[in-house]
Formats: sequence, C-alpha cells, structure tokens
Amino acid sequence: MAKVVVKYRGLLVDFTKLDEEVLNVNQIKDILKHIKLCYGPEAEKKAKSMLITIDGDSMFMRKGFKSKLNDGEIVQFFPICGGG
Amino acid sequence: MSHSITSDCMGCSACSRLCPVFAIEGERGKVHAVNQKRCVDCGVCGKACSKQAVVDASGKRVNKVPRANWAKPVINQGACSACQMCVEACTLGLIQVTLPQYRGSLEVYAQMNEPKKCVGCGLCARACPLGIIKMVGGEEK
Amino acid sequence: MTLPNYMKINLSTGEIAPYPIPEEYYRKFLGGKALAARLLLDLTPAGLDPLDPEMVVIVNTGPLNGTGAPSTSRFNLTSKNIATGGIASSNCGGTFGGMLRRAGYEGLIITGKAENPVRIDVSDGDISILDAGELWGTDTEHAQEKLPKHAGKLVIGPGGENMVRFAGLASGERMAGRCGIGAVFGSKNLKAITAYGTREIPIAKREKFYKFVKRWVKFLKGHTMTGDALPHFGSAGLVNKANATHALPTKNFQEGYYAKADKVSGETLAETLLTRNSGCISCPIRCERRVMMDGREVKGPEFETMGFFGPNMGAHDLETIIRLNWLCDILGLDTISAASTISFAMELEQRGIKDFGVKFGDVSNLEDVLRKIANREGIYTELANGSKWLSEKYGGKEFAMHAKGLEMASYEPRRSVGMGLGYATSNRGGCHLNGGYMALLECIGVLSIRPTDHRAKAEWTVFMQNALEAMSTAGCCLFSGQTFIPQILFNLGPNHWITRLLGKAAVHTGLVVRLLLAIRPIMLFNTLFLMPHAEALRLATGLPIFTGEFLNIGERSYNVERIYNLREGLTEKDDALPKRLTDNPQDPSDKNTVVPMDKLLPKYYQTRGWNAKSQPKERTLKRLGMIDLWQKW
Repeated sequence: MAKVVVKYRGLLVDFTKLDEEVLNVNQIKDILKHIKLCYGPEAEKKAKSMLITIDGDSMFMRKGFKSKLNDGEIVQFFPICGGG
Repeated sequence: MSHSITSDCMGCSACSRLCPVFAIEGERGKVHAVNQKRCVDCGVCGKACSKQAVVDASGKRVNKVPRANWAKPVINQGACSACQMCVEACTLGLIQVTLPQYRGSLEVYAQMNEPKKCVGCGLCARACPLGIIKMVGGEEK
Repeated sequence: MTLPNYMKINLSTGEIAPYPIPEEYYRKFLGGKALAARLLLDLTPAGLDPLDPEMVVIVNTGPLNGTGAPSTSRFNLTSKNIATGGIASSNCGGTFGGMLRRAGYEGLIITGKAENPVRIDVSDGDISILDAGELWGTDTEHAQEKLPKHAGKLVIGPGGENMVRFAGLASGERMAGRCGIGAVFGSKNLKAITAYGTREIPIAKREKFYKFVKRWVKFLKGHTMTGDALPHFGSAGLVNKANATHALPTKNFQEGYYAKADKVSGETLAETLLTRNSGCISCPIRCERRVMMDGREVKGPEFETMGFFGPNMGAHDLETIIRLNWLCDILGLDTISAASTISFAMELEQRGIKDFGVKFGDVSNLEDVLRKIANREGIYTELANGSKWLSEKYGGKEFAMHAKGLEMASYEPRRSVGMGLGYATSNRGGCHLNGGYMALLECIGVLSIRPTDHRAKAEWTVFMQNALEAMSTAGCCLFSGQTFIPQILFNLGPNHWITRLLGKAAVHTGLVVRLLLAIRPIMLFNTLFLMPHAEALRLATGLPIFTGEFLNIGERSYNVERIYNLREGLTEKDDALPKRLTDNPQDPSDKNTVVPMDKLLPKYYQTRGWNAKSQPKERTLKRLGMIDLWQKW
C-alpha cells in the first residue's frame, strides 16, 4: 500500500466536492474503486474518462490502470482538452 | 433600398442622433440627408420625425410613432448561443452577454440591458443567425 | 454566383481601383489564404524583399465571414515572409473580416509605400487613405481607442512600425500574430485599416443556410471538445496534457517535461485568475480566456503563450505570463516567436555563447526586454530579428527551434513525430496549425496514435493539412473542426481499451488515408459529422462544394503556397527541423524519441504527389486544375 495524494481537477470536483485527499492504495484502479464507493458510479465514469497522471506523467507511462503507486506520489485527474 | 429626407425637414437632428448606423448627416437648422449606401431601412428616423419629413424606400411618408410604441427585442435566451452577433449589431451597446452566475458556468446568453434606450431598429434581430430575437410591441409599418 | 469584390490600393501613388477576380480563381481557391497566395503569385515578381515598397500584402476573407455561421470570424493576411523568405499567411479572429465585407469588399490588395504614416479607411464601398501621424508610435490598445468606435479595426504596434521580424497585427483583442506581416505594414507606413458598412453579405441559399446553421450550432454545443472542454478551459487546458506525455517544450526544447507545469495550466488558471470565458463574434464555442490583470479584465493567454513564457523558459509564473501576453498584444508582437527567440537567447547565455540579459528560470525582466525588442533598442535589435538570424550570427543552429525561419509552437515533436513532420513541411514555417496539427491525434487529444511511431503519419498529416487549410480558407476557426473526432471516443474516454486500441491500430491506416484522399471525386455528399464546413460553403456560395471538393480546395491552397515558396527559392532542404529534434533523442534511453524525417518526408512527398525536390508533379497539378502553374517556379 502506498500513501498518495489524489487531486481532482476540472469538473470532477462537482462530484467529489473536494479538491484533494490522501489515500492508501496499491494501484490507480484502487482509486477509481474508492471514487465509485464514495462519490457514486457517475463520478467513477467521469474519472475514468479523464487524463490521469502520476507526478505529472501520463499513467500510461507506467501500466495504465494497473500502475503501481509509491509513497508520496501525486495522482491527478485532468479534463481532456484540445487546442491550437 | 434606402429611406430619404424631404424638404419638410427643419434640421433638429433628432433622426441623426438615433440612427443606429450613423447614416444621417446635416447641420442644425438645415435639411438633413440620408447616406443611401449606408441606410438599412430600419425606419427609426421616420418614427422619430415630428415633421414627418422621412419617406421610406418606396417613397411613402413614414408616420411618427410615440416612443412608447417603438418595438423592443425579445431574446429567447434558452436558445441563445452567446455568439455576440446581436451585441455587435447594437451600436448603442444595449445588448450584452450575461456574466456567469458562478465561476466556470457556461450558462450565459445575450440580454437587452437598457430597454428604455432601445430605438427599436431591429438590427439585433436581423443579425441573429439562429433567428431567436423577435421585435415585439411596435406598430405595424 | 457572386464574385468576390477586391480592391487594389497603391500607397505610393494613391491609386485605388477594383481588382477583378477571375471566376476560375474563385471556383478553385474561393478566398482566404488559398486565393491570396494565388494572387500573390500574379502580383509580385520573384525575389522581392518583403519590406520592398513593391511588395503586396493581401487582407482578405472567406465566403463565410460575416454570415453568422458558427465560428466564422477568421480572416486572413498574406504576404511574403520576412523570417523564411517564403509565403507569409496570418490568421485572426474578430469583427474585422465581417466588417470588411459589410463595407463592400472581400479583400484588399495593398502595395506601395506611403510617404507618411497613413491608415486605410473602408466605408460603404468608399476607400480613403487618411493621415495617421497622430497614431504612429502608439500601442495597439491606444491606437484602436482613437479609431472610430464601431469600425472593424486592424492595427500595428511599435513592433510593426520598427519592423520587428515577428511583428503582428491586432484586431480588437485578437492578434494576427505570425510571419511578421506587421513589419510589412510598418515598411509601408501603414498603421491601420478600418472598415464599416451595412452591405448585406451575399448568401446564395439564405433560408437553407440558416437552417443548417441551427443544426451546426446544436452539434457544436453537444460535442465534448467544442461544447465543454474548450469553453471551460480554452486552449490553455493543454499544458498538463502535453506535459503528461512529455510533449511540453521545456527550456528551449531541451526537455519535454516540466515538474511545475501545473502552476501555469488551464485548470489552475480556471481555479484562480480566470473571470469567465468569452469568444470571437459568431462563435458558440467561446474558448477565449478573460483574466484579471491590475484590477481590470483582459484577454487571457492561449496554450502556446503559456508554454512558451512558462516551461520553455524554465519558469512557471502565471501572473507574469498574463502580463507578457497582454504586452505582446499591445506592442504588436507574435507571442510564439517572441518567446521562442528569447528562449534561444536564454540557451545562448546558458552555454556561455552570448549574454542578452535573459536566462532560464527568470522572467522578471521580460517586460523590459519585450519593450526593447519592439523598439529595437540597443542589443535587443538583434533579438528582434528572430532565432534563425541569431543562430546564423552566434551559432547554435542545432537548437534554434524554428523551421524555415518561423519558430515552432509549444508541442515537442520528439514525442509527436507527425507534428514534427508538420512543422517541417508547413509552408509558412514552423506552424503547428498549418502543419496539420497532428499533435491532436498523437498526444494531446482523446486519441493517441503512437506518438513516436512514424507509420501512417505522413498520410494523416497530408489529410489534416488539407482539411485545416480548407477550413481556414472558408473563414472558419479550426476549433470548429474538432468535431470530426467522433463523440463516442470522448464518451469512452482516452483510457478506454477501445480508444487505446484505435490509437495503436491507426499506425496501420496509411493506406486507408491514401484511399480517402483518392476517392475525393466521388465524395459528393456533405455530412454534419465529417466536414460541416463544406455544406455551409455550398449553401453560402451556391457552388457545388461537397466534402471531396472541400478537401481539394485545401490541397490547392497547400500546392499554391508551395509553388510560391519554390519560386522564391525554398527547396526540399527547407522541409527540415533543427538537429536537436532529429538527432538528439528526448529520452536518451529511447532512440525512438527523435523525429525520423528521413522516413517521414519521402512518404509525405509521395502522398502529396510531389517529387523528391518537393515540387508538385504535373499530374498532381492537372488533377487539381492548376496546370497553369506547372513549372512556374
């Protein structure tokens, strides 16, 4: 288990009603389980479709939802954007 | 198509002050003239003229209309995309997009903020690409 | 069919006369940058200096400008590019384009040089050249305040007056930033253009057009990108996304990841200094940021500006970025080129080559630096010449981050190789949009087509370049093209296995794209989903513009601009990137993190129907109906 800081950005905050919290989890998918449990299936659905980073890196630089987390890391949920 | 001013004009400049496209020129006390290229046939000049010195594009004299009977725009705000075409069209600056009720809200739309100053030219309604602005309350031409 | 009205204005002689546009030109090129480039070929001899009085600058519109169709306020300026020696085209949003048409004209062709500062005024079809002595020397904000309130305006600032190589033009609070066209205006003593009129914009099938507009607006509002992400976060929302895939240029493209990137992200902006969103006229997307600066509300920064005055300088001060963005606007400077040039100077300092008083990590003196650049003061007159010029004088060509001379945008192409190809081949120089904006499909969008894999990238780049070029020509904002990425992918999300699989599989779709490009003659349909712009054009112009022909217009634009470049002496060697991007892997342990131009470029030329010298082949020009330009280089 790792103690990580989870930050909710963009419109996910409408569901979680808080910006960040500290969780004890093994992998990214554990965080999503937690979101479903505490904030509902809609929140989990939204979170699943966002950009998920670990210390700023896309989670796919590790193993996506199965990425193992380490103590002190920051996981963030960002909205998807496009630009110019 | 254009309105024009007859020699009945006494040069009070009421029309040029109200013209939403700045199409009327003239010296005080002298007969004013409508810029034929610029005029959009909104008829505001004629409605305001106490001398009934304005004729419309077909040559018919425009009747004076009391200000209280000038049309005002009604915006269907639920259908508004806040594209600002009406905001630009209103040279009096009376239409603005509303401010968001809370930070991050996208529920904003065009709104007539000062209906008393509105001259009922209808340029906002003409400019709206969604056709959601209707001019109401005016006398039939 | 209503042919566009163009007027030619000679500032040397004062002569103003109609310039008839041949029907054939209109049918093939329509307007905007495509038509402007075609006209530039006719109107100027080869080898002309961009700042020569004989140089021509064309300010023009597309058929949708002013109609009120969604996101159709983008207008165009075309001239010769000071930085690259090839074509210069600059695009801007706002009221000016629509106003120019309402004042009677689809385009102005300006040549000559006025003896004293002047402005061109267009009113109800009448054009006058007026004295602008009082305006000369003022910044773009003050200049516009002095001009007639309700007119559409286009002005240069001190940057343009002093012919800074990346001087742009301001129109309202928006900028026609790139390619230094502001300097061309400055060289002509042309301070501003104003336009006002009430002419009804000609629309061939008015009722059907506005019925379609209603559907199109609804479609845009219902799509995640245009109805949700862009209005909420603007393009600024890309900072964290680019950073997450290590595609955020850091310290002059030395790296692609910046630890403190979130401090200057769109999310942080939305959580702190953002007051609300806003938009260009006619636009339901409304991606503009409005922010507080010194107690007043001003236009906020776009992604490129945030990346370039932030992580690319090794900095992360949001308030400073807002201020520098505003300052560039009022001085009339392109934020991308200005910031990238300064970053290059920072690396010169880092390497002990030359000290311009700027260093990585310190943005506290940049207000002063920008003002000095705009006024060409002291040593800063060298910075005013751009990074290519600097690298030729001081060395460092391998890390002067431009292509052809125009500084690249804020996407690190070693983590988005299609974007790298786009930067290299873009006709106006290192432009991400002109280059096909492959970053959207490779790293920063919902779909991730293997960023460091070169397969299918050439084909996709050609398709994207053609589509985006056609949209710009029509007068449309490129954001309105984001809907071509199916909504279902957003519903699934970027992490869904289907989306991931599509991204991986897409590198095998090279042939599919070739097929798509080949079947254009039979794409005699328009769909809201694929290219709504084609239908809007068809109804507005009355011309038989279907999806296939729409893409043709984009391809013609790309070819005519390329022909101009070839005529001016650019070659296939100019379709290149600095060595940092082609030879130095971003990740030393992964040799694929370079842009493999040797694999991408030949495929690109092949797909475009060009030979190895980047010259359009005879049969390509025949197919496009441009055989009259064969070998005109």
